[in-house]
Amino acid sequence: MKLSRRHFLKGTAALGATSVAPALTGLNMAHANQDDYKALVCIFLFGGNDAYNMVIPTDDDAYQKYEQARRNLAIAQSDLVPLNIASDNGVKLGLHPSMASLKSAFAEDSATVIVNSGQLVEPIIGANTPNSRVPDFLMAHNLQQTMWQSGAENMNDKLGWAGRMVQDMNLSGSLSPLMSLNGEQKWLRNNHVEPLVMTSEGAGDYTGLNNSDRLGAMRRHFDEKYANLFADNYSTAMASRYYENDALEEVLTSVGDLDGFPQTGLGDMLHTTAKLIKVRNAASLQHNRQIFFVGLGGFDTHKDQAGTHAALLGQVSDALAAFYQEMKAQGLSDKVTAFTMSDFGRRIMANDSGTDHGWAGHQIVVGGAVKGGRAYGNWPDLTPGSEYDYNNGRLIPEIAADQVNATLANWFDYQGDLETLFPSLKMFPQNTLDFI
Amino acid sequence: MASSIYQPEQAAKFLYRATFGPKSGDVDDFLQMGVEAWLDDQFTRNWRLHRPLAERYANASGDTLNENARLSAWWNRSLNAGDQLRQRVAYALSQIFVVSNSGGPNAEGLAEYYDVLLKHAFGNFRDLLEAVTLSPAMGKYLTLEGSRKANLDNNTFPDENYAREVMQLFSLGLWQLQNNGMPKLDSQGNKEPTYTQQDVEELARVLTGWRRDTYLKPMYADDRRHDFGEKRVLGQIFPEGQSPEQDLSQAMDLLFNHRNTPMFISILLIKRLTVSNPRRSYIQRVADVFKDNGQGIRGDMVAVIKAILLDQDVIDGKAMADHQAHGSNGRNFGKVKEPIIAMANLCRAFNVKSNDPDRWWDFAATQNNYGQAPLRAPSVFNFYEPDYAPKGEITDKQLTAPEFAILSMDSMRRISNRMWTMILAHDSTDVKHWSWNRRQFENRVNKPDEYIELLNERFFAGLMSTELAGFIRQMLDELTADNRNDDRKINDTLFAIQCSPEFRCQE
Repeated sequence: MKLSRRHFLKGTAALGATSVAPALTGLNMAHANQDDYKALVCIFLFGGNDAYNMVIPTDDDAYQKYEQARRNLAIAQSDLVPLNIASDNGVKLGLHPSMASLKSAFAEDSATVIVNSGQLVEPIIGANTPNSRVPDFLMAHNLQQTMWQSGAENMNDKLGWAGRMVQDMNLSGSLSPLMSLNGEQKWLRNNHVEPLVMTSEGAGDYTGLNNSDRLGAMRRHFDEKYANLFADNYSTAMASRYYENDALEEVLTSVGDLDGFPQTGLGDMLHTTAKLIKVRNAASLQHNRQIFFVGLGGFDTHKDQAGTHAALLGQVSDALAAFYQEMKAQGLSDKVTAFTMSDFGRRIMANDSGTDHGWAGHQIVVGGAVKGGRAYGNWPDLTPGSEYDYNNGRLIPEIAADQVNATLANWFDYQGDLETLFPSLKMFPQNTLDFI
Repeated sequence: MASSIYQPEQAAKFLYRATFGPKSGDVDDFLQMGVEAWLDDQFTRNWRLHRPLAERYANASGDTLNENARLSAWWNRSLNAGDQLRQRVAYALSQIFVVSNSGGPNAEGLAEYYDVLLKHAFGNFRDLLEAVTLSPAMGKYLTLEGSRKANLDNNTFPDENYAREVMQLFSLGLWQLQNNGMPKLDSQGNKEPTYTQQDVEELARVLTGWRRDTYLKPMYADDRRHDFGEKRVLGQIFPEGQSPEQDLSQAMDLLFNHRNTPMFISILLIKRLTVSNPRRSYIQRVADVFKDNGQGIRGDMVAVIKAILLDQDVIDGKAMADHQAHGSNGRNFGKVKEPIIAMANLCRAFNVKSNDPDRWWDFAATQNNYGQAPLRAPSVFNFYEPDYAPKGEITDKQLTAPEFAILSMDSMRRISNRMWTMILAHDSTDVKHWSWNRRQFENRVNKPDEYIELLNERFFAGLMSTELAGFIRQMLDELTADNRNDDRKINDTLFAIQCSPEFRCQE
């Protein structure tokens, strides 16, 4: 039974991809209408964020269970940053003390927490089906990252969900509206438009090309056809990267540095992201929709977690808070939604001074469109052996990552079929959630 | 392995695969020796280690062994060491058994780790795997160092990090493989995982109790932290009461003897050294040599490396057909050079020298400028995954070109800039820089035939296409017509050479 369902889902996904023509949603007609602008900003926490030390219950009862499970890794109750939000089952939540800079976004009801989400291919909690199928290779970093970026049932798909969405929406611009400041990423891959991969420094000069003879020589290589596959594709890639750099250098120099961003890796990436948002209407961009990928590594905290994790969370919080402030300053706070993803949450119990790979975690979503003032999802029972305990303190998610992603796609005005974008959704009672 | 190499063209291609690029005269020397003698010589040459050199560099400038000294040593060894094959294989191994400065050991530990790879590059895979496992750098990076048995009072458990990655990345891979490297499918057509989470947890128990003293010697066992209970990994019992050493040894044997390991490791080495899209028959031939070197020995790295470099497919220029089909395709042969390999090729062509008599300096921030640097990958998954394919033709044909993953807008520009800097550095006197001697180029730049012959010999070991040669000739004619001076002619043509796709890719 299980196998045939999997095959059915794969079959429909493939059918959908070939038979559904790109949906002309009106988005590509709306270039002139600047009010239509929207952007998604994914902040990927590489390595598996210990989300259960990022969002922590402040209520005595729930806190005690947390402290009992966490022992020497537990954050002191008095140090928590209290928020004005509670989970769906009424557990009041706070943040790790190093994340105080995000407090104001929560206070303005422009931030929330998705509680206990993760990769699922069908419901497990409350589903009353002890043999529910679980995703392949839980706890393997790269495959779990792949699922977040492509969809839980789309691991073998070459493309990512943001890429497929943009392809269906027929979005374009002189330069790609899909941008990564953190290397090539599956999330953005599609068959339509190549993502723009850059560093936070943006663009710069080709120092050898300050005369026309050398420039001419390089351009001659661009146009040459090569018998060899690699040389042939290298020439195309070299040309694209050169022209992208050229166009981007021009727009980025037209906008000066923005205030308030911390000088950290993630701060720099979100700073450049904010600049690219600011110049979205420049002739060489003309983006009425943008999608950004930024990221931060180091979350694979198997040991010596306490100091490392605090520093990482501080970096996330400070960069995200600055970004939110800048979006407010640009008058775009409700047009830009930033959210975290991570490989997986970590195990509740520790490995001595660190934590091991787990399953469920939490996500933070920030932006004026977010329906703040509450959190989304139930706070799970952290007691060993509870219905949430998959195996030795690895928690079973109750909200599927694909439901969260479908909600973001829906907010982005994706008009295509969400169940084609995320085939796992067929198994869940709700395709989208209410957090935005 | 009956194939041999007698033609200059084959010799040149071989040297691009087996070294950091041929230097002037290397092809002639190679042909004079013959490939077997060349290989025997390489396999028996003295190791040119990195850490002692990095230490010397650090001392010369009154520093501790930092990343600058370590990467300086890497560049010097890669560009100049006589044991080029060992250096090249160790670099390939460093991208399989990934240890990184990011969240990992200090520069001294990294340099020592690279030397562990050098020492075991021509040994047996079983010993290599154990040396990697017990190396304090890997212990630090994948946190095996300090892992303890479960403590129910503290609610703590053994660290699963290394147990997982040693199976996923260093031996078995995720899926059961056929002899030709293709995933095996069950009767329903599904791939079959090689291990379960339970296997990870049990192997984590097996590997408890290892601790680090210094970065310079293997980790030692601490019985007090070891789990002496019975464990079961991949169906095999680890009896109760075994010491940390006994448990470790059994685990290494288990992974080494697993049926997947020869195919999994062979594919990775092939992709690093020769082609991005090996035919399945090539993979199978190499894996068969991994299983048995002909004398009943499994894991003989010398035999495996020979099998990779001398396979008939490599000599004949055959690669996998489009769409993962059987048959072969000549167009699909070869690979993109990684940025630092392309740079190493350029520097060896120039025969660069250090301006500092006491040390080589790291060539201008390797990591930032090339999108990669030895032992500085962003994660244990390396700079790119082995099956990455860029959008377009390569993806559409279901082929791979992993190195494309780091060729971003930014790295393409920076690579170009670093190469340009190297071209201009012929008369550099900056003590922290490298330079090269331009006399031969100056002597011939106004004799186009001889000049192009020089470029062909230096930068392509004789493999330059007639199209590129024709273009350079045309460039020289135009520069002459425009009354450009020799400096401009040399600079412009060298720029055109280094950014030609045929220089940045290898066949």
